Amino acid sequence: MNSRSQSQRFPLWASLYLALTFAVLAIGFYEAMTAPKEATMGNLYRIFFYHFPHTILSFVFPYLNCAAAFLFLFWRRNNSQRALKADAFALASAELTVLYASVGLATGMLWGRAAWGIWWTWDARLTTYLLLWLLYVSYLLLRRLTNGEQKAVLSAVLAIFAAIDVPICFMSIRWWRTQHPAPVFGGGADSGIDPHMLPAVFWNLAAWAMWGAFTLGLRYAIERRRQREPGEATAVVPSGVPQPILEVR
Amino acid sequence: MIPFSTLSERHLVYAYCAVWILQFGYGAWLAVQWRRSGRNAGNKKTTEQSG
Amino acid sequence: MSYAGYVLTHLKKDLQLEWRARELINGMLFFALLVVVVFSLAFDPTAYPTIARQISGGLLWVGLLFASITALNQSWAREMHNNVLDAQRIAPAPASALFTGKALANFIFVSFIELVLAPVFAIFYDLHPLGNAWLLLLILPLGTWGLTVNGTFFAALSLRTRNRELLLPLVLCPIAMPALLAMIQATTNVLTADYPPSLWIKLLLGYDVVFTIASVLLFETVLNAAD
Repeated sequence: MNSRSQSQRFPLWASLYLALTFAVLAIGFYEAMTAPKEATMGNLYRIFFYHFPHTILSFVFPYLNCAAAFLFLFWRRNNSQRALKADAFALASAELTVLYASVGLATGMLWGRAAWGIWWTWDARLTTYLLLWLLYVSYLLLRRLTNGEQKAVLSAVLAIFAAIDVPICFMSIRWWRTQHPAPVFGGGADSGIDPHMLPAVFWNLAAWAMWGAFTLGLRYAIERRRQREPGEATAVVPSGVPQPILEVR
Repeated sequence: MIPFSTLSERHLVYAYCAVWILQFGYGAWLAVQWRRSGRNAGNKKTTEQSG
Repeated sequence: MSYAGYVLTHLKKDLQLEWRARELINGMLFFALLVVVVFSLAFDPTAYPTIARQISGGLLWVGLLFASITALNQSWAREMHNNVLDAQRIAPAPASALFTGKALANFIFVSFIELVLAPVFAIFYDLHPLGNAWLLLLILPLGTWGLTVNGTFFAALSLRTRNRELLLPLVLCPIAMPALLAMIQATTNVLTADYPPSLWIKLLLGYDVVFTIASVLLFETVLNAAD
């Protein structure tokens, strides 16, 4: 197996990448603070520079999770080593989905409260983020409440269902809000961004994407280590012998 | 130095702090898990169910 | 035996078992009635008649959702006694036929509850639909199938988990949200005649097709999850 993943030490390239990520995060923060003041909201709008990357990225991780789930089910019988890796990746991307969606919701609510006086409104975007969050929390709960071999299979199946559901949620909520309009938090997505603010947007998007990739990789590596603990490896890989479904009370 | 007088300014500070706490808190938890998993792999302790 | 033959056999078996015991139907009926009463206390329909019409679509479906979750949790319980489910897995019949038969049986049970509950609801809430009431004959089955097909699938998925009855609503509700939104909006549109419900009916139809296909294809994986 790859000796890098066997080592106890944090590889050098990862440390350098982390340092670079912190640098980009710092630049992003600086750009966010020095971008010109917004006409109506003053300084408050700067929340957008953190809110926007998180909400965009919270739609990327679910599809990584779905791809990993498909790969797990595909490799489950023929290539158990790859299946284990796919399962670890699925768990990592699901946790990141929940994390990024949580940040998106929190920043959205803080912004909304200060700008429009309400903590929450059931507008299209916020409702979609909430449902996304709920879907992937239910995925993590399923993993927590399942033991042994079936954990990976059952969560892979749920991941596929969740990924199918995300676009349906998005469309249905959008149609709902077209029929019954509600106050839209954060202005329209189509409301133009002043070109002077674009550098801040891009730097922060890059920064949080880099951070996301780093934490994804780290979480994946930790899960892989946990899988390799004695007694764990065989728990995920199917034995090929049919197991009875027992009544658990 | 940090603007804190109006509601808007406070919420801006809360929002940025919330993001840092959530993200770097998760990062810190991961760092702890990494170190713990390194120790376990080295000592071959009995496993604990996690994740 | 053809695939349809297997499905019908499973369906007949579930209907027969339920007919003999009748515990599920009785339990669900009474539960649904209690839900209607609780909602009437919470949202007094006589005091606010216009609002009552606007929210009763939602209340009806929420009540049905809770009632069907209690039914779904029990639906696989029969298969667990005496290792019947393992016998099913060994049998040469396709596993998805078992799923389809059971989903259809659950659909029939929940529809039966609906047929009783909807008129009771209309009476307690003094409802007369302002829109085309015949559309309800389309909306109710489509909505029920959306809940039942996913519910039966996730009930089977929860079989292998530690906290079976707890997990089913936690997993079902997020996945079913778009369908719930659609069925509630469609029913409300029929009751209040604000908008035509055609958009929501199309969404329900699409949802049902997509998730029926997904459930049928993935059932065997779930059934053999530990192998």
